[in-house]
Amino acid sequence: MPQLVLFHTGNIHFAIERDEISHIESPKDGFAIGLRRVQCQTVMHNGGAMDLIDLTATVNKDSQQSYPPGLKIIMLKSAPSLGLLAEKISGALDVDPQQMDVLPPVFAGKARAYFPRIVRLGDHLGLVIDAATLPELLPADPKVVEPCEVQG
Amino acid sequence: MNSDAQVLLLPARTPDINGKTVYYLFSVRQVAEVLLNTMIQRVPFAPPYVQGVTGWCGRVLPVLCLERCLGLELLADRMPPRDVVVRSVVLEDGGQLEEHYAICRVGAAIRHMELPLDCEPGTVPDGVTDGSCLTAVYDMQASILMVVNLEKIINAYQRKKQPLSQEAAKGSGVFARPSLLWSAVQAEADNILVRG
Repeated sequence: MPQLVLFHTGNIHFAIERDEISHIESPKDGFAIGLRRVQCQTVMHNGGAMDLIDLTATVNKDSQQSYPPGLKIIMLKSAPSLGLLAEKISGALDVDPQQMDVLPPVFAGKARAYFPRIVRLGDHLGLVIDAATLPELLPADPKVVEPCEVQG
Repeated sequence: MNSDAQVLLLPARTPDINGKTVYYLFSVRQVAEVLLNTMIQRVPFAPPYVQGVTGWCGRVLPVLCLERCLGLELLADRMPPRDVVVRSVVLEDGGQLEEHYAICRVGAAIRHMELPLDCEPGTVPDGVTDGSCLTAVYDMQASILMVVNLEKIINAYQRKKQPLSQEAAKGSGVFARPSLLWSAVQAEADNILVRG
């Protein structure tokens, strides 16, 4: 029975297998200052560069809102320099495979690649992230972003 | 009343076209339920015409915006919305028929009518940019009735694996004769694995 870590950002619920996670960080206050709501940005964190991914940026691209305090960063085993932005971690849950569905066939391309499955959680749904595909979100020709005045 | 001879006219959330109100035409048998309020989970990287997913009867259904699918202007405030659960049958890779459901967000002023309808064959309405998503179009007094190609829309992923033939992908400009109205709707309905 897989254990999923549930989180949400931008009103979208996600889930990722616990085994895919290296650790979860709680950045210091002020980390969010200077962050932009974009799919991927490079920030200085713990003395090194980190690619920070916001999976909801594509659907919230009109949002000019800044991130709320208390952001978390989910660090992945498969991509140590890649962090997944979470506004709130809801918890971890042992999920019965019967609670899982594949993404409906109307979805193709990136949506299917990144979220091949969906977990039913009471009255809402969570998109199950395929962690192995996340590095594909990084730009092929990475450019150094304006230095951020943030520190982990 | 014989359900085989009944259709639902679901208002499109788009401005009138040439003074005519635009409807989607569905067989009653294609419509599983009309919902008042659906909580939608958005999905990043979804096609523009997919608003997200929602749970229904233990299934995960996509919520479709047919106006965006067809390329029509979306006028979401035209009338209060309703979420209509529709079903279609698609041929899976293994050759098995699989029942697929989706939710279409339409206007609330849904009309229930009995066949035959007093209508004429029509052409693809102005503003529709993807005629291949339509199976038929009819002109009825002050209305335009569109039969959408649910099988194609719902099954984009499989279609991508098995691309449409050029002829089918092209779509056509003029559709069936009036006498074939029922055939067009029935063709969809016949593929439905009716329950109960």
